[in-house]
Amino acid sequence: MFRLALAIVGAADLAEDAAQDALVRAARNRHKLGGVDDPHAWLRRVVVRCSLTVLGERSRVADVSEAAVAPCETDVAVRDALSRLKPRDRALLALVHFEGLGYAEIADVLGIPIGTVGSRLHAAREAFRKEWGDA
Amino acid sequence: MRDPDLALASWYERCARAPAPSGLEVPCRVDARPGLSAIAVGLALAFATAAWTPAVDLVDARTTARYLAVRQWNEPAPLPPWSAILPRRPEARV
Repeated sequence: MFRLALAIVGAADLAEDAAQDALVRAARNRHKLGGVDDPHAWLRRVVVRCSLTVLGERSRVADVSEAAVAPCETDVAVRDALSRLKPRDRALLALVHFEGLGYAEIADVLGIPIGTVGSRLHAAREAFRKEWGDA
Repeated sequence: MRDPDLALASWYERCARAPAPSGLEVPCRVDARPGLSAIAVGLALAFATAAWTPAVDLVDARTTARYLAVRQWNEPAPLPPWSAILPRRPEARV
């Protein structure tokens, strides 16, 4: 949970907040778990939504010194480029490259039509490349 | 590293190896059923030892502690049963 949140929000303190919120939400909605086929996917969806909420509250990632991983020059540049993307694009990239999900799972997690996942992923990658090139 | 795809992959790989926030790491899985109390779910989330398939998710024990603290804050514990036998205040006997 923490690592998925970290892949989306990019900072350890924000990832902790997102993971904590996800735990609280999971507990509050525990009555839904009985009818859930895949609790892991359900919990993943909660983590992603909490991460997006945290990103909405704080638009940019925290300082590099707060990173959970020892920062190197490339990581700093990646985090900086990711911080300029829309939260949904960051979540999309994390779900693809970090979680390794397929289009159907991504559509389920983000609540978007499966037909738009490909175009949104393409747009997110292009946005990252642009920010990466500008860095 | 100027290749954006490689840089992105490198970043996510490092995220996957990131240490847990702090404190004790405990295996966690969700095994909640309707009717379980929130505290029980919190404990299950934090201390269940069965491995998650295909991977074991790790959470920070501090996160669970904060969650439990929130629960206790929102739902103050009832008076203990022995409070009924505490001596009354003098004015109450008048």
